[in-house]
Amino acid sequence: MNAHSIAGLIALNLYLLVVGIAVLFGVRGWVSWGELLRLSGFAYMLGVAATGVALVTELVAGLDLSLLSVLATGLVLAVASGLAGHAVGHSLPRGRSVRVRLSGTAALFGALLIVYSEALFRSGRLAGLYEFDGWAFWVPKGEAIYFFGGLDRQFFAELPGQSYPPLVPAFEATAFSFMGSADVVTLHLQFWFFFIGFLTAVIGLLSPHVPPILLWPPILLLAVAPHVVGHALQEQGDFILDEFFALAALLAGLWLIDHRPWELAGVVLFSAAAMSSKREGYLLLACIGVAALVASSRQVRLMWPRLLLAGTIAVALTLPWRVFLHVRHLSSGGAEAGGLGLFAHADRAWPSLRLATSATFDYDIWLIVAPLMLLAILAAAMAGATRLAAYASFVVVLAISAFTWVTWAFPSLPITKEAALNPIVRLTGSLAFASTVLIPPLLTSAWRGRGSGGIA
Amino acid sequence: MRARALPWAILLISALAYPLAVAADGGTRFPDRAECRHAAKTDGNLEAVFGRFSSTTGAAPVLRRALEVGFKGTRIEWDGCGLLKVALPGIPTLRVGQDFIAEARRVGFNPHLEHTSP
Repeated sequence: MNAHSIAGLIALNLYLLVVGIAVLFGVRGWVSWGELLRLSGFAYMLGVAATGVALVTELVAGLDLSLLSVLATGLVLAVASGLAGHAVGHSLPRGRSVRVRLSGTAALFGALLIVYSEALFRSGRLAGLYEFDGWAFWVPKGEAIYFFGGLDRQFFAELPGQSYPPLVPAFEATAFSFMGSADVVTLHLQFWFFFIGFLTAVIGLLSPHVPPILLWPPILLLAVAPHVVGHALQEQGDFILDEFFALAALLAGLWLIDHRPWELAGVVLFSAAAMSSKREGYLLLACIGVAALVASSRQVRLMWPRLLLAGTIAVALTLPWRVFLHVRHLSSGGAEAGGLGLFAHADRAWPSLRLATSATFDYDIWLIVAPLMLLAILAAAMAGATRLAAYASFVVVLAISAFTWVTWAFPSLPITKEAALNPIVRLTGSLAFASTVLIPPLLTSAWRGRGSGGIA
Repeated sequence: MRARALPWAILLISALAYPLAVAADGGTRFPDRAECRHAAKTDGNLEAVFGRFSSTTGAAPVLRRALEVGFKGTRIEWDGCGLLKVALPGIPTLRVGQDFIAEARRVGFNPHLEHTSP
């Protein structure tokens, strides 16, 4: 049973990779097969994001999510991306050789990551569905889509978390279709694929720009953080949100430095996917948007229109779900305290800020990811990479402000890191992930010294 | 050439080392659907299972017939291994269970006595 399900999940993720390669061709292309191999993790995550956003739109439109419709969606995405890539002049490399340079340092760290991922896979293969939100609504939603085809009117209205967009349940239902049954045990491995895809995406994106000694340790640090080891394979939306958010944050940071259009296209796609994963996505992506606008304030005419257009497209891609909530009279998931309610609960402001900060810097949750981020920002700023340092600083400050707001604006949440009572630890995951992907370019800027301007 | 191959060899060896170590420790075990069937051996927490099915289409007629012949309380539930079972829970002892099975066989069923899933 388990082996059959694993084979199904491998097929699903190969399918997502193929779709992602087509999307990569559409937005960026590649100059050699070796480069495609290096970017295969990034391509996979593009495939996950594009397919996820498309599936959410289809569900909202009332289409049934069957195996056939999922395959057809991928085909449409692949063909559209192929045509778009062809239209902008992308073409396939002529040679057949696949050469990827691998240094000894990268091989040693890569070996550690491989053993880690194998152990994580082993722990997830027979993991039980114990996490509360997972069995309370994330997985039941996936099962409902799998068994009923779409968003059953009564079922989705009665479950908790009704305002959460259905990207994760759509993937869970798709995984069930590929596995041939609602195997909620093996389903944990789908989240293993997402997590490993994310790590390989970051490595692939940064490896040409960042020395291995500055790239791999922060990634391994995140991988062994207690919260990641304990919860990365949970059948919930938190980690996939963190992964999309971090990739959007990284691509926005890279775009601020070298202005490549494909990086902004990636920001759009990952932002839309993040906002389609959890409602917090809007808040987090606003942090990236404002940070990028502030960091590029010396080039308002050149960069702001592009950033604003990218943000508008990303939000537009999530509008069908917001309309759906309105049409079905479902909760929109707004703040409990309301707009001016914050002032009525002003006494919660300081404890909320203290909770957000202490969760972000808690060694027992995220090890030293946050302090390392602060050091990296300081080092980059001192080396003259002011734009990247400013961007990263604003991401940190705004994200902690956003976490503070969540506890402050929901008076029913007690001031505690207890996961069953307050989601603060899960929320801080987004900043931990974003910090991990921004630390290597920040450190590289500092390493290369004053006048380098960036990492490229 | 050798220097270029060395990093890849490190990756390959590390990729193989973990699965081989696991395999050397008794191999990888894949659970079987039969593991959700706990044959009744002692009294307490017993149920009579009329059959297992991959879909409600197969299970519903069996449930309907069981209810028609008077086996009240029979229901469809997940067995924990991806299958639906038609079962009558609440049987207190092996003796009561064996009496029930004999009665069910007289009306054309062939149920098995199992411990309810833990």
